Amino acid sequence: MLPSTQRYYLQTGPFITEVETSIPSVQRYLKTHYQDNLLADPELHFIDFHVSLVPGMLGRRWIKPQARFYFNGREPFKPLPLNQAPAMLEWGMNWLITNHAHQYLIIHAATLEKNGKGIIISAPSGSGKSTLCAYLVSQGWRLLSDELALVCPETLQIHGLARPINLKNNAIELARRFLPSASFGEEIADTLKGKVCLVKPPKPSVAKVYISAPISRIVFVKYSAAEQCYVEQVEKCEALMELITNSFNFGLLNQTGFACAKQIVEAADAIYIEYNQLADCEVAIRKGIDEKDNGTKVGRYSSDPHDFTLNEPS
Amino acid sequence: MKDKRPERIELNGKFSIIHCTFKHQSRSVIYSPFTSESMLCDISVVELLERLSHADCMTGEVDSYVKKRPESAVGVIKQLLSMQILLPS
Repeated sequence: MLPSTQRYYLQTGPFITEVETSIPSVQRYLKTHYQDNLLADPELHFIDFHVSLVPGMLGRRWIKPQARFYFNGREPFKPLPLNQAPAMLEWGMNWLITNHAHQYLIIHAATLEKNGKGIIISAPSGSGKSTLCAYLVSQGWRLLSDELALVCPETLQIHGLARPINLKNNAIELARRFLPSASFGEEIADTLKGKVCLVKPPKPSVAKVYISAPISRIVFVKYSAAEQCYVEQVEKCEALMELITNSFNFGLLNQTGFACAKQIVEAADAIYIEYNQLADCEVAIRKGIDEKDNGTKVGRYSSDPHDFTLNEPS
Repeated sequence: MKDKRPERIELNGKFSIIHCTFKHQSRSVIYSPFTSESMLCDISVVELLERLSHADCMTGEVDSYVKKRPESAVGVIKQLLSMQILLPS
């Protein structure tokens, strides 16, 4: 007997997504990881995105089974192996936001809040951004997003999504040491990013997702086995270029995007941290760049000397 | 870099220095709303644009800038032309 199709309505920060699926692993995933985001009365709300995840057609239901992602009846991605369906839903939801939510400046970064202070953690893929994000959550920081910083150009506040944290490869075992075991989903092997595990967001983060946060600090991080904790202040022009480079929709927002990014670096300080201990990194984030306070080395972040650096439109 | 500048250069009249530049200490970022490119550069580049916005003879200002910085200025001017902040006239 074929599994029945179910509809779920997810409230993730400012967005409501209708997910229609007959894939049992996605149904299980939504019931566990989005338990606190499910809307009981969807008819009272405007639905931003209508998506469906369905099994492959014909023989692809049984031979090398596939999952297919549809948005408004169209299929923006190639099918993936069926075991990757929950991860495909997350990647698809990221795609929906970065391609449609242009009321925000969207930066590829994690965002968290503690004591009313918001931080943006920017790092290239594989630099330990999600691992650090998961650790900070275990230390009482409120999760806004592990992947997308949504900054309102008018208020400069960061808006949260409180969606699952996407851990990869070695970070999964590491995070099991400090996050509750019940929050971990099934491990998904052999994705394009390696082994992936989705971690349920903490209840308080979901409950307070509607509270935006001002940006107090921009943090550029890099995991480095050889460096216990190295902290540098990042020069504001360098920080601005990094934000521009890591933004999904900067070019589309044009002068509004530039004005927003400019105001972010004017209002917040920016630091660069190389670390091999998550606890030291958290201390550095909290204490910032005060070398007298935490004893870490302090310099000035700067790329190689040059006359100019160009960033081409994204 | 070989200097192949147009004979006459002018600042794009639609470029807003206030809205499209950011200065901090010795450096600056210039954004082109025409091509969506951004450039991290020395603050002297924004100062050049500020002078050009008031100059009677823009080409003369550019020549003077290039003379003072023979090594880097040619690349900077070429980039500003590519970003359509400066225009050949």
